[in-house]
Amino acid sequence: MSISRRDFLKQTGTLAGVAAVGVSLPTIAQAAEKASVPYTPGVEKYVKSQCVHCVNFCGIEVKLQDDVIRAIYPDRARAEFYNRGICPKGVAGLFNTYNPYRLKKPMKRTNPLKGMDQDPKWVEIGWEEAFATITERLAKIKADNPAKFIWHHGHGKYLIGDQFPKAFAAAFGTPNVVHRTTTCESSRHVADELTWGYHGILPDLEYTNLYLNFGANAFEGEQWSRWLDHATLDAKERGMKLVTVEPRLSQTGAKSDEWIPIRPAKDVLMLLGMAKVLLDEGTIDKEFLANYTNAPQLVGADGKFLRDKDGKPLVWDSASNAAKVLAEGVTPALLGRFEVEGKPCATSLQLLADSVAKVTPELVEEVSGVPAARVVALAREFAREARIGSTIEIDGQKLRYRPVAIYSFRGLAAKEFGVQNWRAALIVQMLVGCLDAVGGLHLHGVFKKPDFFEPSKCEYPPKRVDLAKSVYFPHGHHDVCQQVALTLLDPKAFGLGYEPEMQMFYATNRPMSTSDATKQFEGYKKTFNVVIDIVDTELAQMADIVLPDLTYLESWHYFPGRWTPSHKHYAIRQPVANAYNIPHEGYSILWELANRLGLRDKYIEELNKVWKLKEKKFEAGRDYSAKEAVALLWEENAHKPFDYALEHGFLGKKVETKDRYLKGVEEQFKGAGKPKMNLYAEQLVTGYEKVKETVAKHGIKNLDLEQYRIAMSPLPLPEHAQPVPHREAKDYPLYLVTHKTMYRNQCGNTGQNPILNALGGTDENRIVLNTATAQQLNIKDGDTVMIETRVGKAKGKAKLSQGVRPDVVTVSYSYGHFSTGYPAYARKGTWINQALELHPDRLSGMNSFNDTKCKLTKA
Amino acid sequence: MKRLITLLAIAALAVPALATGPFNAALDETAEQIRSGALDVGKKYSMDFSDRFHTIHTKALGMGCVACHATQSYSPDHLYLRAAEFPQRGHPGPVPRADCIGCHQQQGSATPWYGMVRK
Amino acid sequence: MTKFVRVIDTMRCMGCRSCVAACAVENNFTPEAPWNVMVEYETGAYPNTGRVFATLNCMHCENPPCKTACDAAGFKAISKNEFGVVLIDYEKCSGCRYCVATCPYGVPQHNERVAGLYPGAKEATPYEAIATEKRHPTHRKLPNVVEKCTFCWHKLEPAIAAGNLQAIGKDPRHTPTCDLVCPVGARIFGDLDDPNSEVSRVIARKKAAPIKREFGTKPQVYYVLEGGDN
Repeated sequence: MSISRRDFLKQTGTLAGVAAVGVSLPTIAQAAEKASVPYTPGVEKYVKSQCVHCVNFCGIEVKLQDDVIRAIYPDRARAEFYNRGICPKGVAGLFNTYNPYRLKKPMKRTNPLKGMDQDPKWVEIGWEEAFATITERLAKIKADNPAKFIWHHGHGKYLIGDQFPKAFAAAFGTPNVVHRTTTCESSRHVADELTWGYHGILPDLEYTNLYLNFGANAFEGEQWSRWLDHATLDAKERGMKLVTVEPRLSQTGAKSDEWIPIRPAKDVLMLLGMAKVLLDEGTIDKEFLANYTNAPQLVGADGKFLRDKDGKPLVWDSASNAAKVLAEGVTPALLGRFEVEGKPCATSLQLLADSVAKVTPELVEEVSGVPAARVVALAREFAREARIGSTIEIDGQKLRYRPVAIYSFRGLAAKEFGVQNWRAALIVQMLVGCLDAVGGLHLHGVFKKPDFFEPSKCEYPPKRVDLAKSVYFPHGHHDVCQQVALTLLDPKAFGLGYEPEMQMFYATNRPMSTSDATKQFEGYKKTFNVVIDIVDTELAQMADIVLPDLTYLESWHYFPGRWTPSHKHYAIRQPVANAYNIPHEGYSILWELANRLGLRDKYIEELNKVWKLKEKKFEAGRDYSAKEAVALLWEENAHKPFDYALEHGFLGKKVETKDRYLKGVEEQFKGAGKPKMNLYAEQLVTGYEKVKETVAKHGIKNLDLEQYRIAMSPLPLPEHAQPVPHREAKDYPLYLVTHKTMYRNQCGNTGQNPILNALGGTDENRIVLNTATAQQLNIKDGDTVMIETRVGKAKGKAKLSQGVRPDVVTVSYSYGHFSTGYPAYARKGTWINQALELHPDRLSGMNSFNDTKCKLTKA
Repeated sequence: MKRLITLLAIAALAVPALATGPFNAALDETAEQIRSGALDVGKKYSMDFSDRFHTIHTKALGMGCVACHATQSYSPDHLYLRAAEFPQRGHPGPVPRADCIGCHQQQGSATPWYGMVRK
Repeated sequence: MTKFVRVIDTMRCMGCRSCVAACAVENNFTPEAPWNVMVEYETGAYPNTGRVFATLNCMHCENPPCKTACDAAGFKAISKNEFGVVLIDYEKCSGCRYCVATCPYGVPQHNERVAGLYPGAKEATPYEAIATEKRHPTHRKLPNVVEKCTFCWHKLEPAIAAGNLQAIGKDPRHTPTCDLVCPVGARIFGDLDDPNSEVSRVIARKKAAPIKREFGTKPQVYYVLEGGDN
């Protein structure tokens, strides 16, 4: 269609319209008119879908011009439910799809040597050869011991849904399906699970008035970022105060009302210091502690609860001065030491008070660098703003109103004592009663899994290669992704009853995103590896066969949705292109393998189980395309025709007030006869006994019991502010922490995106240090510097900043790629993970990303 | 301000007319000579050093490079779209546009780029 | 009348550069000529440190010095239309860069060469290979031509042509893409002549003002400033 000005006006019926709005004719279509080549834009189309660059899963609207992806916009309809805009990764997503450096054909390795310094010497092969080779190996393993096959996914979980690989693994018979949460925030999840029976938290920002953020960085890259960002700023404009506690002034810190620069890993001590102030001054929510938590439960000298003959925990009834089960008419004492049947005991809260007695504000200042007066003032402000005892009426419901919240992500979680760090934050919030209150910290799925209140089984020998839930990581509820490679180096040392032979990795660049990361590569040498990905990552270079995948703009997915305190939604992702005509992706590869292994119907049976399908089920005896599977899942869950999904991309709904505030702790924990939120985590006491027993019984040598005793404390302790490098790396004067930027994700495909590299210095990361420290070290901005730690070195360009503590160096992740499959422009910057010490959280297995100490010199 | 004084001082040395009257009058005269073609500054409108723009400023007005081009980068808080990119290839340094206002305002000696009016 | 303006609220801007990326994708970015750039800097000294994020794109001045210079040079490649949008006609532009020299905001970008987006790539992607006639004239990038932000004129033009002015700033199809993608609503686009428009209300409520007012350029981009105005 060629448009001259006259035609343009005619076609659009503008002549009348122009007159109506008073526009003079020469302006309209001026650009088109005056150009020597007329503008014939072709067919424009918009498709609603979902971004999967990170774990926010933003609603998007893809603009196509004659079937070419032309731009990606946020889906405006999603703004009410989740994301208002989209981040630069989402905006630039089409360049991941059109990336000419993508993997396009299956390839096999011809260099028998594997390693970080080895070129795989790829040779292209056909899909048939690839599938035949993989199937042959899998069939052999299945006949021998299916556990010898390990499936990994990182981002792959969100490309098709981890239900598919889980069902495949179940049909195949391996327990080894490994996700990546220990490189994200798994210790925070585990702390939540141990404390209130499930995971998933968000500040109730619509009502919060004081928001303490411990190192979460929602204004850059993080889970729930694209809701937290606008919700936080809206709350701030309403008058909420945001205080950020972190060693580096992040973008979230920058938008805060106050930045409190804290020494890395010392947060737990500051929180315990705040708890002491609250307890000393009695500014605690007694009603909440008594009726919702185990604060009044009596603990004996063995660290366990006193129980009646039915096993029900006892409290001290102040009215009758006797130990009783919490019931109508019982007035539980919150604090005190008592004697029951001649044995001494104390309430859980008393044990907390005793434990924090030594955590004076002065001690907090000395250890964490946060001024004593600020700790006291902040605790008082937190208590005052909590409005303990107040209620608010919303939609006719009278509700507990405690408009204060503490939130964290990797700030508290990515530490050797990550679980205990976040437990301390939960305890401070319990003290003022803001958990699940209006304006407080919203809890998702309270007590959904009662098992989390039980001690770990401390399994030995471990069933899984990652040692999750074994004696090594008793509460590794979210897998322990970095442990797989380490176990592979010496499976017998961990009591593993088999030697794994084959690994398949789906959309993850695992070794690059862990700590002490060069060791990971050693582990991956031990097995036959298959990697499914869109680019030739460092992990792909360790593969024997590489299979190209489709991008998120080329494939289908049903997504159960992100919730917020006020809304929830279901969504689908639908393909808008297939830039390189790739015939397979993660979903179809699994389906094809199930077929070739003769497991299809078993796979289907497992799919129905893991998806918990009731009305619509996968039927045995037939294959399902990805689209058919997504349609089935949509209709089962959304109860709407699939056409609706294709047109709108999602279905959202508002959460009713009663569901928002009365289904969580109110329903699960409040009052007599209910389980209680664990201020005191008794299951860790029993769990530690099991660890001891297991170690003794099996003669386990590579587990330091004393460290497990500290890690499995029922209450957070000052010791939890002292990770290994802080105790041992005395010759390394600086703290090394890490952060994420907006321009990279863990997968390794963002580095090749030319738009993300062109946003102003975003093609490389810097080694950031305080300007004053730099002067002492004679380092200037832009100088090449070397970080040295006890495990490795990392070189890069210095950036001087006033926004970082003088004793801290910080580097962002996902830069410094070295795969020979990457073009040179995508290999810039510093790969910091090689220099990070690995001391995983012993409960959850969480990677320690913020505990290392280092030296810094001019290179 | 310091740079402006330098600019005018250099101009005073280079253009004889400037020595005989107030600066503005002298500049007005030079500008008029440029506009009328009496002063040959070249016909090619381009920022290349040998073309009209730089000929006017360096030869006709006798301004040295540092009269316009700062030797340092813009300050970090300078709200200028490509503030971070200096020094660029072929550019001796950034040009603070405030220095141009003196001549290039309404009723100024030179082409009035800027909307403000000379008092 | 209608006067399109943009408000950039640096109190809300979190420095993500989505708007920078969005502009690049929407407007067939060539690496040497960005239309929208984030200026980011620190204020104060540790521990009393601040970080400021301010994006800069064309101010679409009421007195555009770029146009004055271009006209004086005789090329007349720059126009300002009755909606306040300043545009460069690439076919008339000689690449003289007088506009570059005059703009107090550093906006006009001289594109020395039009290179592919992926360094070293052997062929253009489907996005890059979109034919000239299928590109809006503002997206027909040429070497030795000056370009800059157009307020996404290619998205405004069809709405204006259809008499559908109310869609501008609201409908994604007719809203500048930088303003559309902002995750935190730090950018708003609309009609300043409409007292009920969001831009009018925000400018008044948050006391937004153009920057570098001493140049008398009367910009049509208003800032709520967190840092200074240098």
